[in-house]
Amino acid sequence: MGATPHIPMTPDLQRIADSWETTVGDPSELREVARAEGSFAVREQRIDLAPAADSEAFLHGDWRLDEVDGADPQAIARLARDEALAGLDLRRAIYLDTETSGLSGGAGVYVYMVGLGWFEGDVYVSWQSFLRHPGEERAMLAEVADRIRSRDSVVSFFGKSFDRHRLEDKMRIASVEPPFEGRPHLDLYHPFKRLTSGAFPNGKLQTMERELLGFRRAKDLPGSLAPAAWFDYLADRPHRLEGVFLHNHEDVLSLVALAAFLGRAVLEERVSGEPLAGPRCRRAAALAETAIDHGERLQWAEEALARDAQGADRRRMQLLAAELHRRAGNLDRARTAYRSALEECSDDRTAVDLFAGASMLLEHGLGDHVNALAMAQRAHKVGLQKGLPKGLQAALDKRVNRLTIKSDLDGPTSD
Amino acid sequence: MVGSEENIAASVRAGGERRARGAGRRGVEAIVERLQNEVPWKQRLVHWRTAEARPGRTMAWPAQLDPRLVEVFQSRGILEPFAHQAQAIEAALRGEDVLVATPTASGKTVCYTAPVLQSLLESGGSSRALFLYPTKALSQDQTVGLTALVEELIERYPDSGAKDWHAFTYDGDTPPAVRRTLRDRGHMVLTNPYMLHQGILPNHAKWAELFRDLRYVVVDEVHTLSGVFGSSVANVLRRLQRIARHYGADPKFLASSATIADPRAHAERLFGRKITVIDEDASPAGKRIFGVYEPEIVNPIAGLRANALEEARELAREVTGPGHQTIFFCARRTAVEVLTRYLKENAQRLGLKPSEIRGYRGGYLPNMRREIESGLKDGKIKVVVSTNALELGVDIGALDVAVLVGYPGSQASFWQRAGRVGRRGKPSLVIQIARSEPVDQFLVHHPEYLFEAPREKLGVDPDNLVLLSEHVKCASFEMPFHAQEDEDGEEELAGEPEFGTAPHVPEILDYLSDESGFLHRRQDTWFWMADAYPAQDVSLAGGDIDNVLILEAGTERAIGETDRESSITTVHEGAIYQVQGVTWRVERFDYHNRRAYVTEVESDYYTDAQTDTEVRVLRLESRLMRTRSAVAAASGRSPEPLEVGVTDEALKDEDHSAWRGEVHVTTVATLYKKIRFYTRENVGSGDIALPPEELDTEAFILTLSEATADDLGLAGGDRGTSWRALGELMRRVAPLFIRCQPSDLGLSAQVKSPHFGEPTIFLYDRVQGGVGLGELLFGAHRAMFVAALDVVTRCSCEIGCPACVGPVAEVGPRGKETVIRLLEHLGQGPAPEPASPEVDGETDGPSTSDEAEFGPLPRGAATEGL
Repeated sequence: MGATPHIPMTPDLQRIADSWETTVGDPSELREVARAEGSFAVREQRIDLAPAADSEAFLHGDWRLDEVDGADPQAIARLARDEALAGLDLRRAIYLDTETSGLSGGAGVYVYMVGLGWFEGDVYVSWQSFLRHPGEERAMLAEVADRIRSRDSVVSFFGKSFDRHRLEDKMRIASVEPPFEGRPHLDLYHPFKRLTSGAFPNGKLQTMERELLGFRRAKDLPGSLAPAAWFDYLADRPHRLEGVFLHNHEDVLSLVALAAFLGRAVLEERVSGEPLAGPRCRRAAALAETAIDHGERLQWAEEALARDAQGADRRRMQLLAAELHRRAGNLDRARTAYRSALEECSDDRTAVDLFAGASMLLEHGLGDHVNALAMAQRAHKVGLQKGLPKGLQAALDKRVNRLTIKSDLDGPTSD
Repeated sequence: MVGSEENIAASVRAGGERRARGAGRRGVEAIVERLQNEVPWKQRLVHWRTAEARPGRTMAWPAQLDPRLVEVFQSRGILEPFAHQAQAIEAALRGEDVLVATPTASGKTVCYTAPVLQSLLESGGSSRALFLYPTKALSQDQTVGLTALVEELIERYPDSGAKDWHAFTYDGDTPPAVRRTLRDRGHMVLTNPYMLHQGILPNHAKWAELFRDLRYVVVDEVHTLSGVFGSSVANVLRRLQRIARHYGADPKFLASSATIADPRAHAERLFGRKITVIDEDASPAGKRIFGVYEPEIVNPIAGLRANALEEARELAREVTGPGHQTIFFCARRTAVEVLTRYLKENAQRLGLKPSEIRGYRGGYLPNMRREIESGLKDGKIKVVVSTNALELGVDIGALDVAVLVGYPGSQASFWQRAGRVGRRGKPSLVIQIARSEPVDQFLVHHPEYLFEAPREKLGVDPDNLVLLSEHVKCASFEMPFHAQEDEDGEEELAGEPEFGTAPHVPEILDYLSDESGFLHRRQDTWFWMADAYPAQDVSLAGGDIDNVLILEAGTERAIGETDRESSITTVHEGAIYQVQGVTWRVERFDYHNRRAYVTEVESDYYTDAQTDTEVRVLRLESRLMRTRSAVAAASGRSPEPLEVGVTDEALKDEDHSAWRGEVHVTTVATLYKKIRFYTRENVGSGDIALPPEELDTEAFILTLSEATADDLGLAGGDRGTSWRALGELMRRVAPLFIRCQPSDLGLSAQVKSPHFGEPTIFLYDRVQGGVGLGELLFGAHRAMFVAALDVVTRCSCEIGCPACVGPVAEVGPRGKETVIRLLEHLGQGPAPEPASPEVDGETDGPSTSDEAEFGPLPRGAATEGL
């Protein structure tokens, strides 16, 4: 061999590589882990959560890691829409983020770094395993599986769709039993999307930590460069690897703080009483959408409207409030809610449901078949314009027909 | 002939006088009677052959087969299997790899479904099977059939466990949501080589359930797996076996094929293992009548015969009608469109509605194809005009009459096409219309060739370096390779029975790590080490990744697609692109983004593009040479005793040589002609400005010494044309000996090659890297001289015609004579002997020759399925 594999550097990569403070030689502070399957390297950092009186507590952005203790698992389960999380103990969870040699997926992609975080008494442990070469894969996967199994649950960001599958695929190839099946898994991506949708340009982890935790990374190697950083390392150019270690370490810290944040989302304030950051209207809407109790749903929907929700959120909350009133038998309030919502806009997709709901209210609640028919006809017409799915449109069709007969029976004197 | 009065009435309403006259005579036998006795048909159908109905030969169900399965098959009408089915099932149950090579409709499906279902019963539903079909349509078809069998089994034996068995099609149309279920619960996964290559193998961890218990790999229609496609699939199967082994499985192959030459050799190259071959067809057949149709001579001096497509159109009025179904097979997509258009325009005279006449070919969008297939099955469509796209087992039911416009290029294809007709117990008719092609003309005089044992060799070369490298790359992504030292201290692959037998794999792997940076070698292991998904960039058929999409200008509606190689001749600006008889003009061809924009036009012409080709020798590998003294000695003209073997001295005494080597070919599309429908007159032309297509490939090369050329009168003004005519003849007769189409071979004829300094003919494989056609030609070239001579001497023309050496206007008044002399000289006398392929004083430079384009590369069914 002897020759160094040539990995092309694009100008972009070169610029970023040059701007990065380079480390010379292998990454420091690596410890070798040996198992029956082989060995691999680990970097472990321990953060003391109860520091001596004269020094300040560790902060990740504005958040202390022990704020996980104030998290309400019910709130987490509700916003993640996953009942299995109702008993989640964030102190006994394992926090997971991986770095891979490619985003495409497939058998040839290596998970070359697995960042795990967990609590041990008053200490937070950051444990980053690393493949010094691809032959170490099996040993690392076996250790990772054991460590995940040793905790109650998993917390990740987009991990249900990405990290878990990458690891499972590789474990299956390496005949390592994957640890995920049956283990509660909190994927923060979806609940945070729900809490912030529309407020930020995207739903990425780095957006959430910046906007919600107040965490700004001093320097960061974009995740998209992670594959190249490892290929460089294997080609004896390890200069970008420190960047990956730091990036991954901070990702996992953000998982801890975001989980703590999520656990306070229903109360809308931290243990200290400080209000949570983030969009307040959207949060109320998310709580309305995820509440199970009808009363609470209605309360959050009205709260969202009171917080001056706009756009699609506003329409959805108007509809929700009107329907909840109708179902609760508050006929007048329901009527007002439908009317005010339809006065604002009567030709969008939500209007179809508003017209249909109003029709039901008129028919069943108020016994006004003629107006119920008129409402149903409007719903039908807007439905056609909006290209409603066939089944829904057919249901409207039926409603119109039924009401046509009913209102005929009522005779021409009704109005 | 019941109810003929009614029929007359119906026909009069539908079609007019002509139909009314013919209406009393119906059915295939009536058609045959008419064709045999009436003018002009009886003169044109020069050869008839009837295969009498043949009873089937059955055997008892193999004793090892589960009685529950026997009952299921019996309930579906198979009381006892045909002998070949029983033998195949027995062999499979003994644990052998099996190939069944019997004709269409001989019941091959049972041969592999029985063992698969048996393995499911025996394993309590844990075993798995993977089915590979060459096209998407076929796999969808077969899923329905398998599911029906399983349902029958459930109904009869609710406790057999069969209710948990699932058969799924996995292809590009499978929704992502279904894929997961299918991976975990698909007992029988039906897919195509493309999906296996790009979807399943690179993601094998997701398919771990399938691989772990993989018992059988069914490969259907393996005769389609030749050339670059077959060689690629052979490598995909190497990858499959390697992954199955990783998960602890050792699947057996159950394969089926049309009747081909030496099926064992083909299957063993393809699968890389010993295989049990069952090739004796024991199924019954209805009476089959074959006619060979020779179009009449329209110009006796030039020996010019009427155009085969025109003849097909005329013949249509006898062989089509509302009471039966007829299929026309054409060689080219353009021909399909032209004939469909003709027939639709004439529909009323044929007693048909235009909608009852349809075209069918690759490049149509899937929905349209499905619609045509079901229209044929339920009888709504009476006439279909198809390329080889309908040659494979897509279920369209049995039809009545097949008209083959031109010889399809191989016996296997001929029989596949013929197999499309013949309903149970009813006679069927197959008419082969001869074109003015040497092979077609050869068959007019040697019809027995069609009915003899197949002779063409299928070219499959899994070790083609280009293809092998691509698949080693894909395989590295799927699982690392390991090296070890053999007894001589040479590096070889460790634990790789498949890729381990291929040459140069350690070198390829080192190249992939050192030079291209895809792999990382650490000690004895090569690891994949790039952020890429190699299967995405590796095409199985050469070019399918780069397909050109044909879009309607303005609306961007997809009209069809074409492969990259043919795009420069079919969708250049100004080209007329035809779909179902509608003509579209190409307004803009975005070569780099692989898109052609077309507008519908009423065109009375179609276009035909011409290309320029340049061939350069890269490396010469083998040579066979005959010396002038050997010729002289054999003819008794030389008193000198012959030296044994070929010496350096002898090299100067060259008579002619045959070579095998590597060449670089550059093809540029230069201009296109506009050709009017019906009259076929040339009504204009235009220039084509597109980048050249380049390829490195293998060639068979023929050189003739200057001295011999002079002796044979290959001199003067028509020297080039006669020499070229010889090359053209060789190319056209090649399909008699190797499995290819003439258009799979490129030709360049040079009067004085800059490389060899003497008259030279290059016949090259038109696929990047070559798939072994060069080698097969090298082996068969003597026999090709003999067949070519036969074509020319039997041809009824006086001084040359398109059916032999070309029209006199092209080859000159002495062309035919010269070519006969050349062929007599080359094909007779002593055979050439091995010589060193080194050539002194090479002057390597490009040379150009004009070359008529023979239409799109018939990658045939290869591009289907994706």
